[in-house]
Amino acid sequence: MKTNRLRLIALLLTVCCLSSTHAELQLPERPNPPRLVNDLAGVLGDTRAMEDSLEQFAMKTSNQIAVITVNDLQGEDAWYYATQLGRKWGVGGAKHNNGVIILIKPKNENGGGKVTIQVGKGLEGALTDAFCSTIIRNELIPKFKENDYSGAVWNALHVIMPVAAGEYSEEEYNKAHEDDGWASILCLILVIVFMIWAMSRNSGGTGSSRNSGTWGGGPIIFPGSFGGGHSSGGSSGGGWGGFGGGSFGGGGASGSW
Amino acid sequence: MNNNGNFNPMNGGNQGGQGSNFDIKNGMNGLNMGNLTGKLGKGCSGLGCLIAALAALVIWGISTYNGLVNDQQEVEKAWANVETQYQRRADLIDNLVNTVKGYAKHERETFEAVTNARTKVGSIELNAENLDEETLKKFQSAQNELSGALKSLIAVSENYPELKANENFLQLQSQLEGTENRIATVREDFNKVAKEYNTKIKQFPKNIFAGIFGFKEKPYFAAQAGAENAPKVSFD
Repeated sequence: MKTNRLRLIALLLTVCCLSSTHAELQLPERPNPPRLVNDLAGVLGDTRAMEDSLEQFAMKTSNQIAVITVNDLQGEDAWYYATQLGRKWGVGGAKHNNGVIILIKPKNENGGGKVTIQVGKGLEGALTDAFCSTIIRNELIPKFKENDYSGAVWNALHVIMPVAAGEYSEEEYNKAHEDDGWASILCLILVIVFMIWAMSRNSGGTGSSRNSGTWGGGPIIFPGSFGGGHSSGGSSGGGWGGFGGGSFGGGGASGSW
Repeated sequence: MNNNGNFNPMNGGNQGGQGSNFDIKNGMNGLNMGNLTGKLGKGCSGLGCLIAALAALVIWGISTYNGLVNDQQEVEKAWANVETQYQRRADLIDNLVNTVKGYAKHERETFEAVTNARTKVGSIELNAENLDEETLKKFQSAQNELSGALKSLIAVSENYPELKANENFLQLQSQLEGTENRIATVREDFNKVAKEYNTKIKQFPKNIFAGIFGFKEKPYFAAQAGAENAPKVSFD
């Protein structure tokens, strides 16, 4: 009985799908309260640090970067889905169209993994198509292949945020990436030195002196840039003002794995 | 917000209406006084009504006309966006062809197809005013031919691993892909705006005005089954 009923429902659904030849794209509703990280596919794990980081970035620069994961693109191209979703939600400001969408469809039973970075017109100058493609190739896809979705997005954000804020450029990135070997070694050394320093402070100092240190209150713009070292206060939500009605025109790049 | 936007022009319209109503009323007052004195007034009062009706008609006509002009400008703007994006694609061609040539000298047919298609596209001049179904169809078929030629050009890279890995080529490829997506977006936007406009000029009584002042129906881009899809970049 139960299976029969299920079959009937399945049949009805198929008929419905077939009858509307070009089925309207069913986009998820705008999150309320507004959120920049929408892990609808549930692959990013704990997203609070990412949300905080993106909200702070939005408050500081007015650029809104939304990270969205979905399980199914309903047969559409990732870029098209992202553009439509970005327009529906209004990611970025209406005046400057300064929104960015990172849309991820993980590798699952619905097919291979797809990713797109769609850029509002106001940020196309900083985040060119070619640069978005480079970020996808260098930062996102390798981590996606390791099934590390959160790590992939963090990697991409560490490039996109400073570039969108005008603190860093495509050329600088490409240059840094050329002598990547040196840069990563240098980074590693820095991290180790930093950890030793932090540990020595930790064992020697009291709680209050730790709080007055640069670690907690320093002008760290991008929390989490050292892999989980996120330090911002509790996220009350909505402090960043919500989506601003920005539009998208197809600029950006996509990739699959 | 939308309500506000709608409300303001109506306010403006009402103010204009009040202004002219006021004049007409004054005239009517004068005529009513005439009515007290003689039979003649009855006819004049009718005349006053007629003038008022005419004035209302003129005001309505002006606002309708202005509305149609606004909508037409939206269509023109949408068309300008379409042209910008197609131009953006045309600007990529030289670089793309030269990069591919550096690795695949012997793909002469492919290069020729691109050059020919590009010449064809360049020979079609189309602006928002002379847009009709036939001209748009011609424009679209020429652009589609170029899309196809560019797709073959990108596909050439499959046979040349060095080209496929060339950073410059990868960048151009992603620019082309992004531009094809932009083209698809502006075309969809154009169709949407054109549809709104077409619906308006076909509605009674606006269709009378549209006929008098020569507001012509705008054509649509035909949906392309797959042909408009940009070459896909895959990193396997």
